Amino acid sequence: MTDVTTRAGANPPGNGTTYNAIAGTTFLIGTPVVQDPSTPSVLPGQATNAVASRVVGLAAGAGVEGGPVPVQYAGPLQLTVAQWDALTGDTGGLIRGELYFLDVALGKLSVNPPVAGGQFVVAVGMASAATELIVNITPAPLPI
Amino acid sequence: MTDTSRTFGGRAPGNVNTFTSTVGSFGFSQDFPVGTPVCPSASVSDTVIKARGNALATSKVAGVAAAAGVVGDPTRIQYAGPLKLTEEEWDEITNDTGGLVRGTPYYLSQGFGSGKLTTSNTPNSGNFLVPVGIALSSTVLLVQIGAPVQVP
Repeated sequence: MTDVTTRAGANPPGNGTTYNAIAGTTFLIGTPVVQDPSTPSVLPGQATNAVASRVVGLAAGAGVEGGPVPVQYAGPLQLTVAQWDALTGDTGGLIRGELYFLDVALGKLSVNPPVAGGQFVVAVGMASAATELIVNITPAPLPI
Repeated sequence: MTDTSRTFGGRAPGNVNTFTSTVGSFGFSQDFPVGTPVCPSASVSDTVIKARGNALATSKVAGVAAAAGVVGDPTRIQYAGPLKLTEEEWDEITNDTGGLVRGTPYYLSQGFGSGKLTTSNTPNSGNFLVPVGIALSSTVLLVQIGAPVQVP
């Protein structure tokens, strides 16, 4: 069962705004994740359909199938430039001041929100530095 | 005055994402059970009342009550993060049975009763769609509040 015990204290790279979930598959640290409706685990999110776009947070640790993974649902998340690049497909880390969205590619982030009909625009946070995203998830109840 | 100091130490059922506010009264909005979505009172400072998606003022959800509210008394309001209640407590808020539905988003209800949640994202024309959270299990709601959007 999902452990929703809060993690008070600054356990890097998460903080007091994480909870401990079970990874339903293997994924990178920083991956936007959603709650699997059929099992008590989290999976990478994707902006292409309603269920996969219900982001609950970003993985504050790498996910290994069946293992616990901290999920950060708010606040600053600091990773390396390389770790962010693996999620955004960019180089040089995050772009300070940019809003990042759930991408149409599975488990990815992008500065470009989805534009196609039927997709979901889910803002997940704003970059405060090349290595830090202020997680602030804006749910998208309806598709474009 | 509203106490916005954070509540450390994992006091169940709230967590670090709570603030304390006084419970106000508004029409038929009186005491409320734990889990009730609340909004700021438009007429009395530093108070919250039961939210409802049939008007903009009452659609501005500030959080979900992490404790039962009694008019005139302070109560804790959770504005983000996991809130764990019993299935019975959630059922009172959703009018369903068996607790929350895992992976399902919950919205502010527009219905006759204030302070309710629903899984329906199709309010009537003129009413407001307000995401309040996503169920992580039958007993845990990840509070994640969106802005009210009026249905044309």
